[in-house]
Amino acid sequence: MRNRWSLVFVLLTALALVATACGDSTEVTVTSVVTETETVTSVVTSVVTETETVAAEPIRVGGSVSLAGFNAAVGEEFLRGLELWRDMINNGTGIYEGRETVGLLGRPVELVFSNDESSSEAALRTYERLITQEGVDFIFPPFGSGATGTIAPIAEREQKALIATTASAETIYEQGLSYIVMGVSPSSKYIGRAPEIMAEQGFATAAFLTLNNPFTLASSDFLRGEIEALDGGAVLSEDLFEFATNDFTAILTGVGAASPDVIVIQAFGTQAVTIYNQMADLGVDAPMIVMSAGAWRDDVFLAGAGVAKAECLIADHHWNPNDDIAGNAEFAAGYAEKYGSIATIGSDPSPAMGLTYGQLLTYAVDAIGESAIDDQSQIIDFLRNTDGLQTVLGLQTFDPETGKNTALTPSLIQFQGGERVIVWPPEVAQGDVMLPCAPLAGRPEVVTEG
Amino acid sequence: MHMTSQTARSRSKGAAAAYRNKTKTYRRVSIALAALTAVGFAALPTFWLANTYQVRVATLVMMWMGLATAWNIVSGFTGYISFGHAALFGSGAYVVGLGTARYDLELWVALPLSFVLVGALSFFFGLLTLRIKGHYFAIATLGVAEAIRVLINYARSITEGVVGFPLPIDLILIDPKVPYYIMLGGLIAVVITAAMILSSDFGIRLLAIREDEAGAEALGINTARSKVIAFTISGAFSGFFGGMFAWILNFLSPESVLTPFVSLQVAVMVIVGGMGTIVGPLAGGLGFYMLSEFALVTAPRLNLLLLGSVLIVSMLFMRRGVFGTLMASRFWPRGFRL
Amino acid sequence: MSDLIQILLAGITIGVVYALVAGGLNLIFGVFDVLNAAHGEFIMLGAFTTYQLWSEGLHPLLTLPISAVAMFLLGIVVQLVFVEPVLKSSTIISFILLFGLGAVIRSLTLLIAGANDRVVFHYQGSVEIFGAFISKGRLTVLAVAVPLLVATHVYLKYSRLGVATKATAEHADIAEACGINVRLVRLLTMGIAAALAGVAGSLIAFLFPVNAQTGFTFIIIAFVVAVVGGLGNFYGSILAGILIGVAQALVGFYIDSELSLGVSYLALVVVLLVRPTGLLGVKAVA
Repeated sequence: MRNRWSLVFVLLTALALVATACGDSTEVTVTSVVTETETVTSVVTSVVTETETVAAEPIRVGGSVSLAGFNAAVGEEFLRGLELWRDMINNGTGIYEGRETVGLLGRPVELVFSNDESSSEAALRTYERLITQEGVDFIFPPFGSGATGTIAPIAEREQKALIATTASAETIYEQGLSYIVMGVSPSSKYIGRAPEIMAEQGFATAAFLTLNNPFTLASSDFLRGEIEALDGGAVLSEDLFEFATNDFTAILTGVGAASPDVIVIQAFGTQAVTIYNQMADLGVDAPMIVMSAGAWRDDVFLAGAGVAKAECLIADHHWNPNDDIAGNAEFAAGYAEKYGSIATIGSDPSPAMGLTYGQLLTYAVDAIGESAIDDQSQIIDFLRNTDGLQTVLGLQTFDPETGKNTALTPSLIQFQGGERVIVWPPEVAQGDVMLPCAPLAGRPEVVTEG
Repeated sequence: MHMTSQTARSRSKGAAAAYRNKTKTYRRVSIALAALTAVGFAALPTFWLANTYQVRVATLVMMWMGLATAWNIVSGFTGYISFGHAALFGSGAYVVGLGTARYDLELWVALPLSFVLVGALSFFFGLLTLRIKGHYFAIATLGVAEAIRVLINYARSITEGVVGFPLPIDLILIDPKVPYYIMLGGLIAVVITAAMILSSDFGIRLLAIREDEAGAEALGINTARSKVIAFTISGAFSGFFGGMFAWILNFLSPESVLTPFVSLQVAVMVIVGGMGTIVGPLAGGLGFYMLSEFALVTAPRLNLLLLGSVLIVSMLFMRRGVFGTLMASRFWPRGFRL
Repeated sequence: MSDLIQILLAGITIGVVYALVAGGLNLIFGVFDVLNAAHGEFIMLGAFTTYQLWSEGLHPLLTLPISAVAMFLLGIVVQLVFVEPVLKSSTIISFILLFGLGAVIRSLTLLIAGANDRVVFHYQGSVEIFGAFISKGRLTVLAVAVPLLVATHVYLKYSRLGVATKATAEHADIAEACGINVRLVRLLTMGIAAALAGVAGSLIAFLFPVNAQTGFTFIIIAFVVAVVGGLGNFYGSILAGILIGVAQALVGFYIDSELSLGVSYLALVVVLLVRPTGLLGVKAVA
């Protein structure tokens, strides 16, 4: 024994580890999550009395969830959407009010998942295990284009339908995979119509700040083409950065020097906030600023950048609890009951993505019946050839060849007075585009208690 | 005690002969053990493993064991700790990935190509870094590996950068037992190579470098050449395993093969298992991977905690690694080198 | 021209932070041959201390000394419990041990504090100098880091313990023979290095969002900076830190932003080719 202190410490740590492992019941670390006993009993009772089938083995829907790492926040919300779907379909509440059978095919739905900590490799091992070892019936997607792209080959190999409601990068759907369907807007459409606003306002030049990530890269690729097609349109500078980048001085100084009409920021979460605040600090500005994905959450973006600085920012809009879409009211109510007011998440479509997955799966399985589990190509056929399926993200249709989403079209909002006002396209606009605005640098700062 | 020259001579003859016999027996025992293990692994899929997931886990376990053995060839034998092997591993992955996905190569062409091309890369990598001594070397390898990762990310038009790409569908659909056996073959090859090095003159030169490089130079050993050769062999095998990994993963991106974490994981496996031995990297690879898989499944939030604790405990109490300590202990038969 | 000044200021600010971290690493290595793989966690915990205290109402600047003292104590504990027992073994052993310790600290932080980013919103707005903008946060960082580095230099050169540290770095056995309490010197060195890292973390919190992984991402570059400056050389890390910080900014601006993080690795390769022992070479604490 070299040092008694090390021995003491090791023993203490071992004790702590054992304690944590045993007492760790609050976190979701187990691989299967079963609905509460009471709910199952009530479900069983109602099923027995109302129909003739007995609630037997649950239908197991499995996948990996990002509960840590850079996708932690959105991954958590996605899970909430999934769990809400499971509760609603098992209990016949919310959007499934009055549903005759419980769960799917008369069997309650059980979610089975592991935490991939935002790592594609961990996701890969999880799906491999869940499909071949645990034998789950259906799989739900992991969060994001990166992870989905990584596990898509497994789904293809094991012939499990992958209803991808979190992956917008079109490249995933261009590889000739036959077991995939895109249940979310393509990345090109997120802010893809911003050039139309540019044209209307007489703007032509732009500077891009793009995160090095499949989704944002695809979005920038599309935008570049659209802008260059404008009269006198040109992308003056394009800068790529990593998740680890936190000093944007070099990039922003270059953008400022180029003096573009439009600055396009493609970043997520707190990084978007950092960029925005540094922009203001450096006096970098443009008549029109557009952001994709970074401005979703009020509690992150508005809180971090401040209502004053966010004013006039144009951002993508997929979904909002207040949108007038079938099922949305019930969804918002269900979310509020289980997790608290949905208003805090602003326009973060992640829980809606979770629910949408469930909705699409339900439509397919209801239509096909029992054989949907063993022959999942039927699910893909059903979805790809549909005339239109209503989900909380909107009405969905798909390309029969590739599974790409053909119907969902996000709109564009502008922050006006701290509110998100839909300003484009004109058919659905709630207000006019307010441009130009006061310079970013001169605006009042974030009020904090700190 | 007074001994006649005759008895002294016969005593020493007996002792020397006894020693020779003992080493021969030990050698036979280790070869027998190795052969037994190889047969065991070969029989595993048919008799023991129940589904594709288990076959793939077993395949990956063998890969890490092979990678650890390859790393040991340079770092364990010469003492030059490399934190840059991720770049070699990853390059091999990209050779196979790009070769099959972009250039339509057959797998049986791409895999040997990964061995050869990465071998060449390792040669230059070694040439560049091995002139640097001691602690600087480790960090230098880390730096060069990261530089390679940045480059591969940057050359987006060729490598698809951060986005990554899948391997061709027909490769994805091959029966998992095929890569299993190819991996087993690779593992056997690298272990035999390591064992042969260890019992050869070349091996003695490498060990001399580890013990006292200046002394070795003084004895006339061309340390630069020996180091670079070891690095090349180590790198070539790492590239091969990288190529296999791309095939098994079905999808390739810098995040899965080129991060410093890969280099660190290999180093940890070998050091905890026992550097410089043959069985050390194998045991370390097996143990560590099974542990991390176990942690991922049963307590995903705790897996980093678990792995870190294992490292702390083993470094505090078993500095030479499990097998290093075991083989140096009183209970281990002397001269029995595994 | 003002653009250039802006870039340089940003580069120097980040460079000075690197210098604080790499300086600590070099002190540790210089005095007792250990590469502290857990140094990133001192940064992270320093940042979290600042965030926590700030969110409870304390002015950010006042959190600095608390963060420094807390990390100083933690450093001493780490040294006593984990490093002292393995001092006689090779550097790789202590490296792996500390790496494991870092992983444990990181995961505990993740478990307790969660994965979300933390931002200290206190410093907003900027100041204009010759047409170049520098944010108030960065100015504060410079205003704290530079004197801190100077203070450390003064300590090393003029104080008794500082001189003892240099002596131990040069030749531990002889220093011990001269009556220096070498063990105390080691403990102090680790404590001071940890404190420097903690303050660096706090300063980082003034500028960017921080989370449990922040330290880990910083430490890789910090090691590169330490080596470029010359392992074991405190002044080397100041020079290298600023050079690399500025180089990152310049490359990001003039060449390609995607390559700016890779500049440090390029610098490493170039320096090691030309001067294998680093810029200011020779293991010398001062």
